Formats: sequence, structure tokens, C-alpha cells
Amino acid sequence: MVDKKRDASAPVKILVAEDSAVDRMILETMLKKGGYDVVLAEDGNQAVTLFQEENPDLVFLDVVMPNLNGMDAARKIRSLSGDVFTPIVFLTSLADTDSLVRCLEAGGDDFLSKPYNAIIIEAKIKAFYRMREMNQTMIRQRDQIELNNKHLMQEQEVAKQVFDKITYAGTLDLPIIRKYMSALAVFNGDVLLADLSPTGSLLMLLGDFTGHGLPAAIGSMPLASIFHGMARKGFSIGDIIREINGKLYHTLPVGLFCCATAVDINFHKKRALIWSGGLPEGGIYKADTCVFEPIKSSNLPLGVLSNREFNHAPTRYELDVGDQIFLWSDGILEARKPDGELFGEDRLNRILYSRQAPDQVFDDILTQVQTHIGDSEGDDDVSMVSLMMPDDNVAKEIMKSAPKSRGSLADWAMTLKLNTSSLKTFDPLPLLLNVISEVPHLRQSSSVLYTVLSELFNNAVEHGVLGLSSQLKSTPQGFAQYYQLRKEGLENLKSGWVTIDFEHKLEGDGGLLTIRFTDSGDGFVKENEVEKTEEGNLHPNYFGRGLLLIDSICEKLTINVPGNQIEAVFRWSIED
Amino acid sequence: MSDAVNKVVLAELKELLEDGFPLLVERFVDDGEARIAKMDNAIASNDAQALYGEAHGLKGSSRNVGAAELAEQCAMLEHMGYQENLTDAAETFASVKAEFDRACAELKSFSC
Repeated sequence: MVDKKRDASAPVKILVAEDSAVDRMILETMLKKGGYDVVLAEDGNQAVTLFQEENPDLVFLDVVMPNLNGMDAARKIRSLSGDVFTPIVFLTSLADTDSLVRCLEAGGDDFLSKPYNAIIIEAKIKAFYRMREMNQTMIRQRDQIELNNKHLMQEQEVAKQVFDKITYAGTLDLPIIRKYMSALAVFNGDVLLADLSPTGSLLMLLGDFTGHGLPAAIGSMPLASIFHGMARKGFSIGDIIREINGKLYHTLPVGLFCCATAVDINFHKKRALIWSGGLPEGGIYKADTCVFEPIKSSNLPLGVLSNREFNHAPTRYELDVGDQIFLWSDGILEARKPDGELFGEDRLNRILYSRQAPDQVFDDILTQVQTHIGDSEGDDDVSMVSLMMPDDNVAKEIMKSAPKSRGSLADWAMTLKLNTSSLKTFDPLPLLLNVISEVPHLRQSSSVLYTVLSELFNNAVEHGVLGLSSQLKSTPQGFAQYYQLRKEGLENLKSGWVTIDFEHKLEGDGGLLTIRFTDSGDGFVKENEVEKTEEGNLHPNYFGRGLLLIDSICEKLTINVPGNQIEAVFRWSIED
Repeated sequence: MSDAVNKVVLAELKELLEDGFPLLVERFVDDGEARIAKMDNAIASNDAQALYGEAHGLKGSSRNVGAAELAEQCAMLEHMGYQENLTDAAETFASVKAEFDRACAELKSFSC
């Protein structure tokens, strides 16, 4: 039965079924005088029909009626009303208990005996109408809760689908990875990611967001997206962790953050770089000695500190073939028995330090945790993963599916020429840094390179295009004058340009970036003032302080004569 | 002999129904006559169930209009119908008919 919404100010509607015209008339008049809306039926069949058509708030039924008697009508009305509570009051002057019991069994809620008394009728109507309203409120709220729950499930389903697309689980199916995660782990805030890097590493991240449900899952999306995006381009685990930290720091509300451990395991170099922040201590299970060596978690979780305060440097661990890295979220320690007892660190350590065969550790932990939890449902918040250093044959097989480094900038060159109008308004530094940060591992030098680029650019504009003398800057007044001249010079600039050339090539475990600034100016180097070093560099003492700094950063710094072209060569190498 | 219809009850009904009171009396008479005819048939054909229903109906209406004596006599017929023992029904029915006529007469005079 549909609960047709009725205007709250509409009168209460009452269905009266009574075969005696006299009694019907008296009751009708009493109810109408009481301000009620009255619908009249003369027998049980009419009562059922009118009940469906009129959806009354209350039903008065005579017991003894032709065609369908009151009890049978009550049964039909009850089955039609479904969830909605419609009070049924029997109109009767029956005296025998037997009949009264049968009335109640048929679904009656109360009796009204003849002769009718207006005050008693009013009291009954008020009481039953309140009951009906409470019942309807309860049903509305129940339906709302059901609906909300359904929405929530749908949202989680969609979120899960999106998340599963972002984290292509394929990489987690490698033979060297063993994992246990609940199917809806992402809504416990747990996330496990793995991907192969073109550098020959397998990168893995186990994270545990604060909170539960959708809020906990939301942070997983940018995390997974950044992780996979950067991992497949060959960025280092430190760069990835730093990028994720910055993203979470800026997007997540205070109090929502991600405890995580990130691993870069390199099969060729037989080492792991591990960054750990906030997760319970994992460790390395050595294959030859069956000893468990814990990994200290020394950092704050992701998303707590700004990147300026954040330490993204991982720790290096040497690994032998067969060594396993174990990571888990706190769900394993907090796994509860039905009586509430936690699994706890002691139980875990007893397994880890029992020096059993390496290939049994994972199963042993999992079995013991699950036995501990027993049948208590919904408490499965356990996330655990182990990662084993493979032998060379397995490693080769795995790396076949690694992305090739063509996905990132490797050997490349570019030229950017800024003409007059661009020089007046455009700051090329962000653009240049953006290009540089696309080179894996060069990103970590971006602040140093920023210094180099800004110094060279200012040099080209101020001393080259505008021809300003750095002598001016020797006094405070001169300093102000210098910048005034620079501003006016650019505003009034008729013609001038700066060309920036980048050349980059990979070399060994690093690369070489050549930066060349050429400008339209006359230069400031006089032939007879040049002092050449053995490598053909110009003597650094000749230049202002800025160029001296660049000389200390770069492997090589060259200035041509007459000085409208400066070339800096920057060498980088992978840290480990 | 006391009143067939309680005058206090009638006064209340008249106040309640106002202009509708004569119609109520009319309905009581028509409905009652129809039921009495049906009771007559029921007794003649020994139909206890029908007697039970009609006596019950008239009993209720009688109570509502304050015809207490009529209601009592109807209750006796109703009970006979319920017990399915109509031995004394004809006798009680005769007094119901007489009491009904008396009640109708009082009602009609009160409604003018």
C-alpha cells in the first residue's frame, strides 16, 4: 500500500462501514462535527473498495454486516495496508468474549460500543491518529535509511570500480608478491600498489588512510594515480613519495592522512630503498639465516607535513635472493577475537622470530591471525604483503613487462626563443622547470637548477639585452636605480631577444644537461680582459657573484666573447 | 408504563443532528420495519443466523436512539439466534414488534 502524501493541514479521514442507517447517520454526524472527513460504506465489500480508493487514516467497522462481515473486511484491509498502520476500530454491541477475541484476531485494534458517545470517539480517534503518525514517521525514516544505505553501497561500488581501474592489479600478481587484503580494503582505508619501473625496479606501496568508508577511500585515488603515473615513467621512490605527500597535504582535510611504506626493490642491484612513515614496523626476513630484521618507521605519515618540511629520502637495504620484505597495516595487530582480545605484537613477533622456513612465514602469520579472529564477522581489516628478491631468471621474466624508458624524457634538446614582447611580460622559468622535471631523477635537482636558470636568464636580460652595468649595484642607491632602469628598459624595449637552448643526454647512471643562454646584446666581455683556464673556461673572478655560484654548481661554465652567450653544463647521477 | 425512548438521549441527538433529526427518525422507522419483516421470515423458516443478524442490528440502533427496552428485547432474540434455539422466539418477537411500534410513535412525536 502506497502511503499517499497528504497535506498536513488536511482533516483526518475516517472510513465508517455500518449497515444500519441510523447508526451510520449518528456516527457520521458526530465525526463531521468533530472536524473529520468521513467516508461511508454500507457493507464490508464497499468498505474494502473505499479503503483502497480513499486511503483513510482510521477505519470504523461494524462487525455484523451483510455481504462481507466486519472481521473479513478487517483482514482484507490489513493485508492491503502493508507496512502502513491503519487503526481499525470495531463498532459493536457484541457482548460475548468469543466474538471480541475474533475481532482482535481479524486485525482490530479497539472497540466502540453503542450507544455512541462523542467524547469517547474523540479520545479514540486522537490516540489512534497519533499512533498512525508515529508509525508513518518510523516507516519514512526506515525507508530513508534503506535508501541512504543503498546509495552508500552504490557509491562504494562506483568508487571501487574507479579505484580498481587506477590500480591495475596485474602488477600485484607477480610470483614474488604474496598479499592478503580484504575485498573492500579500500574502504578500510588500506591500499596496496605495485608497478614496474623502466629503471629495472619494482615499486610497491602499502598505505593505510585514517578513517573508514568513502572518506578513507578518497585519498587513495590521487595516491594510486600519482604512484602508477610516476613509477612507469621511471621516477625514483623518493620523488614519488614526495609528490604524493604534497598532493595529500594540499588536498586532504586536517586529520586525514596516510600511513605508508614505499619500497623500491631493484633486482639487478640486489637492494631495496624503503621509505616508511607511520605504519607498524615491517621488516626483512633473511632467507639464509631465517632472521627477521625490522624496518624502522622514522617518518611522519604522508599528508601531514608540507613538502618543505618533509623528508622523502629512503633508506637502503642490501638484499640477497630469497630475502622477503614484509609489510602490514595495523589491522593485523588489532585483529580481534570475538571476545575483543587483540592479536597484538607479541603473537606476531613469536612467529617472526621463531626462525622457521622463509616460505612458511607468510602463511603462518595469516593462518594464526585468521584463527585468532575466528567467526567474528566484519572485523577483517587485515592487510599484509610480502615481496621477495627473485633470482636472475625470475627477475628477467618479470622485467619483460616493465615499461621502456621512452615514456620519459631521456636524450633530447629544445630551444626557446623569447622575442621582444615575450621578454616584457613572460617569465620562462616555470616552463623550463616543468620540462626539466619530466626527466626522472633530474626533478630532485630542480631547486638547484632553478638558481642556475634564473641567474642566467637575469644575466641575459639585464646585462645582455638591456646592457645594464653590474657596477651600479655596488651601493644601496645604485641598487634601487638599477632595478628602476631594468623596469624602464623593458617597458621601452624596441627590439631584443633571448634564446635558451637545452640539450640532455643520458650517461651511465645519470645524465648531462647543457643549458645555453644567448642574447641580442653587445656583450660585456672585452677580448683583452679574458683569462682562460686550462679547460678553456673563462676565469670566474671576472664575473659577478651570480655567475660564480653557477660555476660552483655546474661541471663547466663557458662564456663567449663578447659575452652574449653563456653555457652551463650540469651533471646528475642516480643517488644510490 | 415508562417511556419507550429515553428523552435525555433524544434531546442530545436532536442537538447533534439539528435539521437531520426527522430524517434519523424516518430511517429508524424504515430500517426497523425492514428488519422486523426479516425477523418474521427468519422465525417462520427457523433461520437462526438471519434472526441473530437482524436482532443484533436493531439492538444497536435502538441503543443509539435511547430505546433501551427495545434493545433489551432484541438482545434476547439475538441470543436465541446465537444459541440456535428459536423455541421462544415467536413470543419475544411479538413483544419486540409492540415495543418497536411504541418507540416509533414516541420518536415521531418528539421529532415534530
